Amino acid sequence: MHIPDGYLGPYTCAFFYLIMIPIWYRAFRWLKNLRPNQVPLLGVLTAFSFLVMMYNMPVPGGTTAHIVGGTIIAILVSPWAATVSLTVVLLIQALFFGDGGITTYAANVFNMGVVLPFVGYYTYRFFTQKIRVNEIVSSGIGAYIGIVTAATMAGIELGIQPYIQPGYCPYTLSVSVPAMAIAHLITAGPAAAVVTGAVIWYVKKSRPDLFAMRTITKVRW
Amino acid sequence: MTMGFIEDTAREVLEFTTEAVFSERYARKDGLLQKLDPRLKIVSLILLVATVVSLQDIRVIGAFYLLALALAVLSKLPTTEFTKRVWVFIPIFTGVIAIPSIFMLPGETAFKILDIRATWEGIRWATLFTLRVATTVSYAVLFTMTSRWNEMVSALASFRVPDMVITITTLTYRYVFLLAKLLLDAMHARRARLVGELGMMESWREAGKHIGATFIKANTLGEELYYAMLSRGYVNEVQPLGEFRFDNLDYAFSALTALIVILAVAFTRGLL
Repeated sequence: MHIPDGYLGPYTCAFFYLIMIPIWYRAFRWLKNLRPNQVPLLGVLTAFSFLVMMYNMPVPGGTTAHIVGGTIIAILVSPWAATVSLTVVLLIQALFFGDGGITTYAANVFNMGVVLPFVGYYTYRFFTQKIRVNEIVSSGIGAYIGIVTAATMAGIELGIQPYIQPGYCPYTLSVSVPAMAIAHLITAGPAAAVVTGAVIWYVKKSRPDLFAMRTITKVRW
Repeated sequence: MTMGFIEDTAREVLEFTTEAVFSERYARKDGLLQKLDPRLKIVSLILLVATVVSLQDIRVIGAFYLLALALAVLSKLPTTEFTKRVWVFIPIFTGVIAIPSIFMLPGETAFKILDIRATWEGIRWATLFTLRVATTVSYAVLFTMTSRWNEMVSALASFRVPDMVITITTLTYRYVFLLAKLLLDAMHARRARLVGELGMMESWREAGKHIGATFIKANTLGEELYYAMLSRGYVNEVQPLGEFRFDNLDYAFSALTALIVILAVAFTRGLL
């Protein structure tokens, strides 16, 4: 889902940098809610999501997909924590691993660090609180909808390029959106759902106290 | 399908991080880019890549690609490894997108395969797109291969990136390595007790358990780390690595970057 440099035109890139400024401001302000002893924790959790993202899982058809881990952090800590983590992960990936791009950095953070964890988290909340589905199933549904929405978003960003300026992504929305969405609906989505559900189940079973981590921060839930 | 993929990934992460990044092999060489002020390097990288992304002229982008190659030579990077790192993935990812468009864009016919028409317009577009991606990737790889992590983080700190973000970035970098090792150990332990093969769903669930266990370990580590830092005098802020100094080489390089960017923009706007 990492959009590399050269796929999005300059206007789209600039637009996402503008959109991300207030979001980053809000996310970094959220960091102040952390107690000092939680800062190293967020660092370790970011390393964790970095690692999770490098897991290429086998999917039908011989290709691989990766999950993002955004929904896991969003559910276990907070969606803002996921935004901060993904901002850092994508920065390291863009600068030191050549994954993703520099001009497309803001767009990538928007898809994977904002859309994915927030959609994933609120879907999870909706299912646990309104429909009263158990937490494990809800977290799986959240992760699934989160990753598919983020991929569709990436598809839209790529698909509007031909309408703005030629020379970037050549395919219109009718090609790029189904391509991104279907790949994630049938491959990365189910993998993200099963893995997220399993993580939540495992953490709940062996360290239920960690679910209380949300209450450690001063944020109201 | 076994849990092999998890193991492979953990091993790959470990090997890649130790080999390519932690060893900082090329970053220690005595080349041009290695000598530059890290702040200048970040700014130039952003400027050059942004310029390449906004260019529409194949010749100008080609010139930028040659410039990247020249910089690689001046920075004493092995040319084969440099080109390999750039071009290995491009045919796979960019090619898949670029090649069909040769046949899809309307325009004058260039050649025909069976009854499918390739257009000059399509060829021009595919070349422009592939060359642009290759050039931006070249600059990113140049930067990656010639930079030392510590200096980059200090440079980010001097751009007023919040302290907290710098701390988190530093810890992330350190802990990716450790967590990958912990995970690999756990995988080996599990594998030694595994009889038979796992199905795809089972392998996903296994991955979930391992990721869950890693999350719990990460948590414990985070707390221990904080107390370790505290006992060594951590006061919720990072001390930068010392002052950077701009010398003549840095001034020359900034002037060169500015000139190249202005020339490229002027040329594409028809001012030259």
